[in-house]
Amino acid sequence: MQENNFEKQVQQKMEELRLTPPDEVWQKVAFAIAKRTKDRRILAIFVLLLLFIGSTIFIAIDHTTDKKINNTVSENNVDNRKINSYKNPADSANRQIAVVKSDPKTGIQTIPLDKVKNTRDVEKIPQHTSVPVATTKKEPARVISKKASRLHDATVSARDSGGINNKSAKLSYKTNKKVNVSIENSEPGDAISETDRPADSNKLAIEITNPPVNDVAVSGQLTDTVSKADAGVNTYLNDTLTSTVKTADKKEPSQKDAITQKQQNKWKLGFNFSFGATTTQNGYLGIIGFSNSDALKAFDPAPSNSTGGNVGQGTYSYTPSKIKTGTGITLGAFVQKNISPKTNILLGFNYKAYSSSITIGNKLDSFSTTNFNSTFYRTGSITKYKNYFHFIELPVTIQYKLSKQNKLPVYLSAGVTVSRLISSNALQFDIVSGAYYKDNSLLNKTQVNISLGFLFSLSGSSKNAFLIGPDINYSLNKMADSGFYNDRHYSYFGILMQKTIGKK
Amino acid sequence: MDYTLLVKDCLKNKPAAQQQLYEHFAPAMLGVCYRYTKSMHDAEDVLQEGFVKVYLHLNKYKSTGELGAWVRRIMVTTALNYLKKNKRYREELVFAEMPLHPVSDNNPIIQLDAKQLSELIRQLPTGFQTIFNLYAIEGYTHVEIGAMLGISDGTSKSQYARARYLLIEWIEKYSSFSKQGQYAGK
Repeated sequence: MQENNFEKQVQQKMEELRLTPPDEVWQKVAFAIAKRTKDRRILAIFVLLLLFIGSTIFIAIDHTTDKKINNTVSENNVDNRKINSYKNPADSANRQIAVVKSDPKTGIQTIPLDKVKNTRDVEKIPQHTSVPVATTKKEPARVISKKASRLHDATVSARDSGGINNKSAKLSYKTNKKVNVSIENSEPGDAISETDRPADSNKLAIEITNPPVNDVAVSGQLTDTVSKADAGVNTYLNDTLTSTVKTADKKEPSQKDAITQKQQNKWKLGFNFSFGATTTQNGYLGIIGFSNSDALKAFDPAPSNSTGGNVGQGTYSYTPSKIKTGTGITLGAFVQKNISPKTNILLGFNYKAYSSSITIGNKLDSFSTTNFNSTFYRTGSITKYKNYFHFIELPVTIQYKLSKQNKLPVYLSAGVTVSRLISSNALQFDIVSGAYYKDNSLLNKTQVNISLGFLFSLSGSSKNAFLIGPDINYSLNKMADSGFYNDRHYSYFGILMQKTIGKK
Repeated sequence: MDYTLLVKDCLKNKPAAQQQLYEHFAPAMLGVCYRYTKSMHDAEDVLQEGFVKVYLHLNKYKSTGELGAWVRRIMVTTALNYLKKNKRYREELVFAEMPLHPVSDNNPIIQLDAKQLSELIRQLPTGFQTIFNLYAIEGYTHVEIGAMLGISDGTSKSQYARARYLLIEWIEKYSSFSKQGQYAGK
């Protein structure tokens, strides 16, 4: 009990202990909080940017892979068809072909298979490509399982799952391509049993051409061909039809398309110009990430430098001018390449000039505490002085097409830029002597910037596109590690214009 | 004082609210930090670091608890981390196993003021000082202290007993000197 009395006494005494911290502790705390908050925001922006670039690249790669698979499949089929024709020239004459005809009421085009006599009809149709048909029961199922997951939006359907037995295997889908269905090694009325069917019998080939039709439906009177086929054949045909038409719906590139695609994949030259407002404040445009750390700048001791100012003592007689918003321009050239139908990558080379303004006093003819070559100005509000910062920069930008329409598309643009300060007339401030002077050695020369913007197309031609839209830019690095611009960042908001140049 | 609105404003990063919170708690918290360190400069460093943590983790504060106690816990944890990190404290924070010292029955009436008492506590070796602060003032158990400092509860007990013995001895001396008007030191 006695022991507890001692502890209680100590506790009570210590609860009474109050010590007043000096003001600078709060200033340091406020500065640290502002810095952490700003760092978090920059990190968040950076992560979002990475996610955007990552997802864009993923979409681009995914799309390219799909295209390659389709092309490979298409080439294999052409070969298979040729081989089959050579193997069984007689059989080719017995093929049943479905040719598309227009239905004026529905707009859907259908033709029964039995109206088509042989494969020569198919060969009369120009620009045809064929889609794979497997020769065993297992292969088509594999193809379906692989493609079905990707082509979930295909509107193809085998309307009657028992279509063959029910004499109406019907396919309908929306595409710009005509579909021909041929059944190999089968004649109308032939009974095909499991036992006597050869391994490569019942081959189905769907051949796709490019007529100027929009809605196409294929109605195959498949019954005539395989009405007596067993369940395995039935499944096989259904699977194969679904598989092949879905593959066809991926819009196999025709020769013309391939040329267009090739042209689009080439690097295109372009020019860009941007103008707008720029600030050199803490946080983006002094709005996001703004903190009372700006208010602390008057207390931020300028570093010891050749001006010889006795700084860092904590007592200052002069307060520097407020840095006001200025203008900024960027102009340059870039090369652009399509990395997917919706995504472009741009690599460029720019010249960029930012400005800001301060108010200063009279020019000083001499400055007692210095011996280095510079012009000095007093504090005051007599003259408006413009600080210019000239950069060259290398931007890498990803543009993602947001709109589905090809006419006047809208792009989201995001990028990273490395820029180098080539010259500046910016004035530094000596708090102790109250003089402005030039010392570019205090400025960070290399800057890493992030940019984001929306670009709207004003011309329909994708080859000679003219894009315009808002653009924001923020430097991740500080302008300087010490001095007047300590802990400040370049930020910019403007209108960006881009013009690509290509052959019409 | 209703802290709910203040905390909400601090979470919105309003500088005025942040400063108000600081000004309200800073004097008491500097007292806490002062007891754990050997110099005012170190105490201010701990206070600064502790308040930065307070603002960064304020979203984790549950309004059901007392804000002062929550801030104090952060300060104590920050002070302990500071002692562990700081080279000169780290060397002194080695807790030697020693035979359990019998707790003194001596139980003087403390006639010193808070500042004088805190000065005496700070004269203790860092290990003793830390354990005394945690047990006698913060109210942690020896098991909790053992877990916090990475020592056994037995070591904590013996260190505490030793610290208590020394402190009582010093308080008695200080009191007697003060009465005689001869003690002009700490």
